[in-house]
Amino acid sequence: MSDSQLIKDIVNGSQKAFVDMYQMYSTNVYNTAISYAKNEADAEEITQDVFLKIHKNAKSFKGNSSLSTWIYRITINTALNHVKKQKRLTLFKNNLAETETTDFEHPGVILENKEKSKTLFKAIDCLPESQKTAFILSYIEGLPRQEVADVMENSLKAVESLLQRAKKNMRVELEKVYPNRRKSKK
Amino acid sequence: MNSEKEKWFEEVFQSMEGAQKAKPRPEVLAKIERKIAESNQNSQFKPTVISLTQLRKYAAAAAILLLMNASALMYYSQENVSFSENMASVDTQSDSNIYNESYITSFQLYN
Repeated sequence: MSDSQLIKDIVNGSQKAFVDMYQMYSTNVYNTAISYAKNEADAEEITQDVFLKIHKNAKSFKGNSSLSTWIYRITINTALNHVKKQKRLTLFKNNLAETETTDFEHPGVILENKEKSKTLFKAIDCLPESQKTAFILSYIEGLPRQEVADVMENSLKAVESLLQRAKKNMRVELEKVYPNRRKSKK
Repeated sequence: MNSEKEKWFEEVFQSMEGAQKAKPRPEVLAKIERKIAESNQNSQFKPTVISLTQLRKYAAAAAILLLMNASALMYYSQENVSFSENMASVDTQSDSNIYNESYITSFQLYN
């Protein structure tokens, strides 16, 4: 079934079409959400919000981009807003959430990369929003650069530049951790 | 040393390569469907929305009514004051007449 047909059916109230769309995209949505939120409960909340928004705004999908691109855009906006909201809440909750997010372990990561991925997520935390999005979509979601550019409504060159700057900034953070790693190795 | 560090940086950047995608619990879909059903029910009982222009018109009408009532009250109270003042002056006049008359009468009496 084509994207436009699927959306048409959702607009017409087909529950089956909505479930089909959920089956097709929920993993991408949840996986992206968990990279921003760094905990499963928040990622689920973001996933719920994203699919509610899709259901509510299905009419406004014009088909100018692919359905996947449109869903990624909604996911990123929802996740970023959620993270901002959580940050505001931590001001009142004695930085409890911050301690939760710093040691985030992605549920799908392979055993030998667990420590490195924890370090990676700590470093991602220090990035500004656009660099963070470019990095998550490229290196965690594994999207091709052109699709990242489409989702971010940027040129391919702009995405490449964002990724370069993201890596540069993350290197600064990783430099701080590197000596500890050497000590722990000895 | 530096190349070792660079290698480690690259390994960290690529550490999510080959990772499985995280999947939401099956309950999430049921929760979404329940929320959609709830919002559909709520939209059937939508409260009437009054536009801002309508609200302004109502406020203006209420203000005019209040002003009219207030001016009527003020006019009425002023009328009452001037009436009672007139009455008072009539009273004092008549009192002074009485005194005058009484004074004259007493004066006349002494004369």
